[in-house]
Amino acid sequence: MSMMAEPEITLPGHVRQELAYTADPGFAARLRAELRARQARNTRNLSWFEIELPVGPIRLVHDGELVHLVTRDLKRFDALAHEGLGFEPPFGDSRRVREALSAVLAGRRRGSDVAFLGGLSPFQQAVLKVTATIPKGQLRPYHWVARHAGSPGAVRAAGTALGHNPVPFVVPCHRVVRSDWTLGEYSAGGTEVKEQVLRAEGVTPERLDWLQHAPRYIGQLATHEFCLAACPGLDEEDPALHRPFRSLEEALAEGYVPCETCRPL
Amino acid sequence: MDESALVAAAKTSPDAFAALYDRTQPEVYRYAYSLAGNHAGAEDLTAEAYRRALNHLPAYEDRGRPFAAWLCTIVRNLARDRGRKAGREVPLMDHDQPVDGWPGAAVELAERRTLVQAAVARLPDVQRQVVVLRFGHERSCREVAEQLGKSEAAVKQLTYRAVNRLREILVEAGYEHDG
Repeated sequence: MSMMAEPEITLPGHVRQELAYTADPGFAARLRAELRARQARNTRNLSWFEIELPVGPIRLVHDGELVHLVTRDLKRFDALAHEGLGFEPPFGDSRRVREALSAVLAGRRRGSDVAFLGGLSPFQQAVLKVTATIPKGQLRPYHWVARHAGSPGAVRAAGTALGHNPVPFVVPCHRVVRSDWTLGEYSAGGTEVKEQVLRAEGVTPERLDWLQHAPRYIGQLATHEFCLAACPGLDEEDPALHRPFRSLEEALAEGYVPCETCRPL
Repeated sequence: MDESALVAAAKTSPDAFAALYDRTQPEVYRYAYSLAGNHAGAEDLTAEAYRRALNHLPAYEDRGRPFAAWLCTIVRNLARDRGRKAGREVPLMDHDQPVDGWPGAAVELAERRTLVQAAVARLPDVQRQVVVLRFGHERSCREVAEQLGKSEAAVKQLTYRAVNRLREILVEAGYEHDG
């Protein structure tokens, strides 16, 4: 590799000024999908198909691009559809949505990018977007979700928002558990289903048991970083390398910095 | 498809509305940016204006005016309401775009699309995204790489190619450049 400094690539000022009037392509694409989804709902251009998961079949309502509703409760689908959408859509497959779903379920894409969340309150949207960042096979507590959604005090409200998640599995609300790492409730079928879904993602009962006996935050002596007990970067086999903390404040006061993998703060 | 037909189709078709959005968004965003003076404000105004337009679309009567002019009117009203709420005037950054005599100005704005915008529109998709983010939004290579899911080296390479291509298109179009 050449040691010479690369020449700075630049454009004349007036050209840059013109470019400044152009929307961020990411924003433009998201808004496009949102508007298309809104119009699909207004004009009843939605349909559903089913896919098979380890916990059984789920039914997804989509507009050909985004997912609007997900349920395991196939018997009550008509009631749920009327409640959530105002009408009952017909069957209709979509290769594009299926491909997007495989990417989400494999952990390659964020569920919030393929779901229509536009009908929800700003807080509920924030909670679901944060939840969609939790990687497959990992857990986060409700208080973590509330903090990252911008309202550290709204732990219960975050729980309620997740309880009303219109797109479970797509936005993985099953990865959010109580502060003591007990599973807590699950709108798509209760605690047992939550346990099954997590087990299919590699979260074993032994892992949950370990977490339930672990300190709330764990400092790593070597790096002076502190983590949530559920951080995949922690070596749970070697507690001699750990320093337990009861609170964020305690960890920060000791000069520990938040881990960038589990982002405790 | 001519715009009137597209507007009529958009009343019942999500894809037609998306196509209408593609056609009008650059102008609407440009106008929103000129009122807000920053990207966060412009995004907010643009998104809200389209949501309102969608809600009022069933009652929309096509009187031969460009659809973008209607959207710009909505943007302008939203910006005014927000300025009022904040207890101050909204800064008007775009001094060369008169807002007096609206909505005629929106039509004019549509017609006065600059050479630069036309040139940027001719770039391949990825190059356009990189140029807009790097120079329009003043993001670093690292930030652009993260947003587009590419490596920093790839973004540097793309920037280099895009800028060269842009220069070529502009020179071809008779645009004088000082570099």
